[in-house]
Amino acid sequence: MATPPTAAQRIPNQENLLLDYVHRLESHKQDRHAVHIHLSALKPQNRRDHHIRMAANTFDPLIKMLDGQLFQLHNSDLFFIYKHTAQNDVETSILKLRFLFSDDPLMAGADEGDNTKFRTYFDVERDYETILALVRQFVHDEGQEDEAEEDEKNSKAALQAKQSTGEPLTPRVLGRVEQALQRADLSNMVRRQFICGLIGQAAPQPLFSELFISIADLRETLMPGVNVTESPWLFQHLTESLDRRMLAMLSKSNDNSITGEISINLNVSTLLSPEFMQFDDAVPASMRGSVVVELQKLDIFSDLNAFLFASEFAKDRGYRICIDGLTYETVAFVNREKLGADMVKLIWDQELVDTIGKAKASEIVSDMGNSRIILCRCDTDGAIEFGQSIGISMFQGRHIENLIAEDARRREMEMAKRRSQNLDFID
Amino acid sequence: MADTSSTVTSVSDRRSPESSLLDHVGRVAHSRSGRFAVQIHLSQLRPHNRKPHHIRIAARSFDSVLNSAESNLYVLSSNDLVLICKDVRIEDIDLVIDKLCSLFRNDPLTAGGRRRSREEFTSWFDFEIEYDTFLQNVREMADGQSGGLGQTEDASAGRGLGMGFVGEALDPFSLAKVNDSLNRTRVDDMIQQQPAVIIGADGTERILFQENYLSIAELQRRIAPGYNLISNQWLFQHLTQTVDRRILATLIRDDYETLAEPISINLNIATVLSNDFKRFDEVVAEFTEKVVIELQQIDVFSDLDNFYYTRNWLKDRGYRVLLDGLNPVSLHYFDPGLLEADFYKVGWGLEFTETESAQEHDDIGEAINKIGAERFIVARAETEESVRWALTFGIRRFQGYFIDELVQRQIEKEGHLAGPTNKQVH
Repeated sequence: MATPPTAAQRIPNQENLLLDYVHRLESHKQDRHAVHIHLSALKPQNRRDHHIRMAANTFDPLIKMLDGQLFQLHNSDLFFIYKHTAQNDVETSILKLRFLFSDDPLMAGADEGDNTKFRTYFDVERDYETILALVRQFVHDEGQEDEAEEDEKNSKAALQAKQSTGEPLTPRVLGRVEQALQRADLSNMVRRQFICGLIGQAAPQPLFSELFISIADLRETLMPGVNVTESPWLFQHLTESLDRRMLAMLSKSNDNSITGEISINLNVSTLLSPEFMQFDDAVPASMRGSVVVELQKLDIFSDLNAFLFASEFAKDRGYRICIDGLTYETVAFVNREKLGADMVKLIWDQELVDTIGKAKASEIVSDMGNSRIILCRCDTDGAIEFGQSIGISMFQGRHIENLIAEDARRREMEMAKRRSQNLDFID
Repeated sequence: MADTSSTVTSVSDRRSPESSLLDHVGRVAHSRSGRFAVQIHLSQLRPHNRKPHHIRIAARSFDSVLNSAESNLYVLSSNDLVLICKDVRIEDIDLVIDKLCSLFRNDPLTAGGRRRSREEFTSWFDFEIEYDTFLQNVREMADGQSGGLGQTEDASAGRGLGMGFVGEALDPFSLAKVNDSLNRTRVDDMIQQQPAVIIGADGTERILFQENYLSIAELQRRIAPGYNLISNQWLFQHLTQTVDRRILATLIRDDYETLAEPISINLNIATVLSNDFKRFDEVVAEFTEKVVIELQQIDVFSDLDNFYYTRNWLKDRGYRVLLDGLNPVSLHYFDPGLLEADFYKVGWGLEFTETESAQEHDDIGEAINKIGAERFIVARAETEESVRWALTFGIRRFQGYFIDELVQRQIEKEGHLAGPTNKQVH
């Protein structure tokens, strides 16, 4: 068994405390029960710190009455050991938790039987050996996890973990970052990702490319160790500064790579600002039609009138409007046609399959207009397969980038082959 | 492309645009042929439709006309635009004015019958015939301006916001300072109450709840004089998190068992999930039905998962959840009922309803019916008109200045106002 790292040994972790407790329980197992609540199986967005804290709070009254002992495991699971007399109260607490997380797919279906996906009950006397083995496993896993944390497979989760421990983005930090932003050379942080038409197995057809400033790079360079996700409003303010920098870059750019059909992400406030007017001056009128302005869905809900005014103005100037950032949950709130947008971007999420389902998703797509919806953040083949099955034909994401690269390689090889054949022919 | 930036004269120039315009008109006194002026009365738009960005964009729409050599556009201090040109086709200008009409189609000035509104929206002056009239007009404008610079700023401050919200825009550093002083300032006496009431069939009002809020105008006056706290939406949103904490710290001292009327508080979702709220929740204990939590629409949509979780938790504890930040137009665009709140607050405003078509009115009615009129509260009810509008949908719950007066009158008459007669306030 792996020994937990020193830090964990200094402060006994919950797993070790639980193991200790279970050992001591051996001599008075009678009338003791336990419940293991699998919060770790909830969707990541439903098991942030405050969720776990509030879930654990549900057991406060029972703990105060000395009816039981709660352990909060490292993986977010809860383990509660209690006296049999508290069984009804425990069940009520579990019911409350089910209600709290009722929007999570884990709660789908009826709460039947003794052991559902959400919780497992144990009779300590009967199941003592099982519990002991399980808790030993917890201790083992915890030790492993500490070591493995660094090379977390899911890099996004790792990034999130890193961010959640950083310095919070305070107004002063924001002010400093925005000052630095004015001097920083952002051109090497500009990324480009293609939105492609993809029908059947045919090679992806690039339609336009989104230009954006990589927030990850920006963090590394200008605000290492700053946690940007915890202050959403300040982050929004930062995006306004980024908008202006992006527009300035595009206005001045004599870089040939920034041509062709492009899209840029802007706040509505930016679209109405003098900076956008300068950009508008710099873009030849004929090119405006090939610029797609992506507006965040949040802007619709923050000031609908401003949103309508700004998009009307931009469309009149010849730009096309795309509503960005729709999720499987928010898509139901957006009526593309009424809002006058040319396109919408829907973020790929497994929940589209699991929670929304194919039938409903197809309906959403045809309501939006098949040719008006882009499935973005497609990291896997599965995303594209599902997208195609519900009528979507425009895609964006890492997987698409891979397909483009693959296609380019294939063509190059074909060219090389043809060239060598030509040489053969000449010979 | 013509140098449009120099032909568009803005108020920031050292000379007033009126005097530049007067010069221009004087200069062409002897070459009137083919010349004419068009005045576009943007000053007649509703205040919320003539903020700086509206005027900037309206002026910009004339770019195509300004490409020709002898055209100049003046943006007057009143927000009116004056275009002076020579031998430009009327059709080309009409095209631009059509665009403007469409841009401002939610304003009564440009809504309605095309012909009529066009006449009110613009005035045309042929220099060959009406030069003297126009010159006289411009002289008056220039005279009026020299004595009253700055007057226009007052007039364009929205009615709802009033004069309290002028001043330097907030930036992250000034926000940090404001935040710090807010954390140190006693806010008890800045907390105000405004009732939301139910108007019964017999016309009498009953209190639904008292909203407890921190007056932002007062806050600005006291801790940030010279700054405009609401100048940037995101920085203001961030500030509200501190406001939340300060309000909770005050409300935590109340006794909820003996509280006569239910209260409501506006909170960020992040605040509800914080330890500050946990402490408040412990004080409220089992009297949660006396507390309505108002959540802002923008906050809700910034993280729906968090909202669903928070809403469930609040409802489970017995609080009632109110979705704030809707307006009559938004009801036309999406269905807030999907959010399953207990109450929905719609901020009334003449700007939303005066150009409402019969079809739009019906659509809104349908949206309200689907959710249930008894869940709606019409806020910012400032006039009788707002109440009439709401009643057409069967909405009987209100909040606003107009209601405050009604309540005051009833209290003067009867000495008190009935609270909710039972728990079933909705």
